[in-house]
Amino acid sequence: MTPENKFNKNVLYVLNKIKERSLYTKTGALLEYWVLFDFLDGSGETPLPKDEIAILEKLEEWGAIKIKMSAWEYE
Amino acid sequence: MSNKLFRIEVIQAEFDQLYNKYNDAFDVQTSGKVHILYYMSDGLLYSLWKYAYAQRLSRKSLLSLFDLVPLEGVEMFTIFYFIERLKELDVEIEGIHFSEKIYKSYCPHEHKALVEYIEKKPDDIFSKSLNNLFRNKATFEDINGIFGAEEILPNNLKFNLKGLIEFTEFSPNPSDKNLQPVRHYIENYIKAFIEDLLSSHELNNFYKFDRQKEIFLNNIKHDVNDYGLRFVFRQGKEVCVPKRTMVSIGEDKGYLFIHTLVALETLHLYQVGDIMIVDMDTPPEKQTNDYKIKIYGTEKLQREIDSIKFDNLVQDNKSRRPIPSIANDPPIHKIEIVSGRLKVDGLKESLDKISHTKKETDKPKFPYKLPAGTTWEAITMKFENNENIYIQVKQYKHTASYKELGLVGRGKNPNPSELWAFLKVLSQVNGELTIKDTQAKDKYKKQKELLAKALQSYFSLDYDPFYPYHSSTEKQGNSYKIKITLIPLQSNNSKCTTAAEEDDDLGVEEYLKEQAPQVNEE
Repeated sequence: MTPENKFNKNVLYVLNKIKERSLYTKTGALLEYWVLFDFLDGSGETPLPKDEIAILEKLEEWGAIKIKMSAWEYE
Repeated sequence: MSNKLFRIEVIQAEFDQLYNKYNDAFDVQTSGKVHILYYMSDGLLYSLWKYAYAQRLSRKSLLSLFDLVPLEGVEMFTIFYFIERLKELDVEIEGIHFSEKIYKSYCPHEHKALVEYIEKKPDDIFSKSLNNLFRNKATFEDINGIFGAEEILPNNLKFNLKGLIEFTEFSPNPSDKNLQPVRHYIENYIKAFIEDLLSSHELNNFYKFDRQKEIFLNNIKHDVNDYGLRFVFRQGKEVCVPKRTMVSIGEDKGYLFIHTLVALETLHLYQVGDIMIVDMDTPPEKQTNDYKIKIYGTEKLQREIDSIKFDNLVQDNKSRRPIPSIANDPPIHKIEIVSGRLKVDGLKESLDKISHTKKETDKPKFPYKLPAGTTWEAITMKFENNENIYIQVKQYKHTASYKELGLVGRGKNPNPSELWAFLKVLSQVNGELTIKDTQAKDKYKKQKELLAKALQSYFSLDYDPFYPYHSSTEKQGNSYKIKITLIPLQSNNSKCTTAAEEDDDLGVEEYLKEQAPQVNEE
C-alpha cells in the first residue's frame, strides 16, 4: 500500500469514528474522542495512536473540526 | 498506560463534505483493498478501457499492445503504466503471442539492436524475458520484465521498442479472473469521476464533470446535427474549450476526453462501437493523428444535443466584440434635395467601403463549412503537383490550386507567389523552419505573416496557423512552425524526391539555398 493510500485509509477511519461518536453525543454538546494508547489491536487495520492524533490535527487544519480541549488520562 | 481525550466541535458542513469525499471515493469492494481514487491520465484510462472491452472496442482476433497506446505520451511509458496498473489489480494479460520472424522482417534494425543487447547482457531480466518472447513462450512476468525495464535500458533502445509494442499480441478475450477486476475498477472510477469525487496527486486542476460533458457535447454536436445518431467522431490532441475568459484553442489539460467519452457511455448517451488511432483500412500517407470513434447515439444524446442552444464559442467571440463608444458612432448623414435629385452626404464613400468589403468576402474559401472549434492541427495539406494541393479537414476533402488559396504572384499571367513556395518549403522541412541569419529572418517573418493571413482567410479561422516563434510547449528553440500537417510532393521515397527535384519549377531547392542556407539541413 502506498503512503497516500495508507494515509487516506486512516483519515476515513477517524472520520467514521467521529461520525459514530456524534450519534451518541447530545445535540450542541462537544464530542468526546478518545485516542486509546493502551489498546493496540495489531491487525494493522486501525491507525497508530500518534497517527490518529495527527489526523485529528489535519481535520482541524482542513476546517472540518475544532479541537476545543485535549487531555491525558492516566490509570 | 494512558489514553488521550479530545473534546471536539464538528463543523458540520465541512465535515460532511470531507466525509462524503473519502467515503464515496474509497473502493472497498475491489480485491478487498481500501484505496482512494486519484485521477489517472486520460491515456491510461484509454489503455485499460480498451483492454477491458476489447471485444467491442477493437473486434480483432488478437490484440496488440500497440492497440492500447493512446494518442499522447511515449509508447514505452504508456505500456509501462498500463502493466503497472494491471499488476496492482492482480490481473494478467493472457494468450501472449509473438512471431520473431515477422518482427524481424518488419523491424530489422530494432531486432538487431535487441539481439546485440541480449548477447552483451544475457543475465538481465530484460534479456531473459526477451528470449522468452522471441521463443513465443512469454508470460505476463516476461512482458513486465521487458516493458518495466526502461531504467536499465540505454536510450537508443528505451525509446525505440515500437516494433516490440506492435508485434506483441495477446488475447482480447481473457478469463473473468483477468477481466472482471479491471471492468469493476473502471466502473467505480468512472462513477467517482461523474460525481466529482476524484483527487489529484499533482498540482493539476480538472474540470468538474458537468463542464467536461459540456465541452464534449459542444465538440460532437455538429456531427450529430449533420449525420444523425450514428457517426464517426474524430478527436485530435487539441480541443477547443469554449466559454473561457479568453477563448483559447489549444491543448487544455483540464479536459479529459477519454474520461468523458467513457462516462457519457455509462450514462447511456451512446455506445462506442470502435475506437482506434491507426485505421488499418487507410493507407499510411492518409492516416490522421486522432482518435476515431464509432458512436451509436441514443435518444438521450439527441435530447442533450437539442438542449444546447448556442455555440458557446461563437457566443463568446461575439461577446468579446468591442461595443462602439458614442464617439466612434458613425456620423449622422444629412439628406438634401438638390435640383430635383436626392443628395446623400457620405453615400459615395459608403458605397466604396461596401464594394471593398465585398471584395474581401468574395475571396475564395474552403468549400465546406468547418465545425466550430476546428483547429489548424486538424488540417492536412498534401502537395499534389506544383499548382495544386490536396486538403483534408476531418471528413472534408478538397483539392485547391495556388490561385484558390490566394497565393498568386503579380503580373498579367500570374504564377504561384513566393508564399506558395514558402508553403512548399515548409512542407519539405516537416513544417518547421529554423533561421539563424537576421536578414533572412526578417524576410521569413514577413512571409510567415502574409501566409498566415492568406490561410486564415481561406479557412475562415481567426487565429494564427503558426506556433509562436520562440520556444513553447509544442516545440524547442526559435523557429517558424506551422500547425497544419504539410505533406510534401511525393515525399516518401527518394526516387520520387529526385523526380520532385527535377520537377522543381518553383525553385524550392534554390529558394532554400539562396535565402536561408542555414535553414534546417533536412
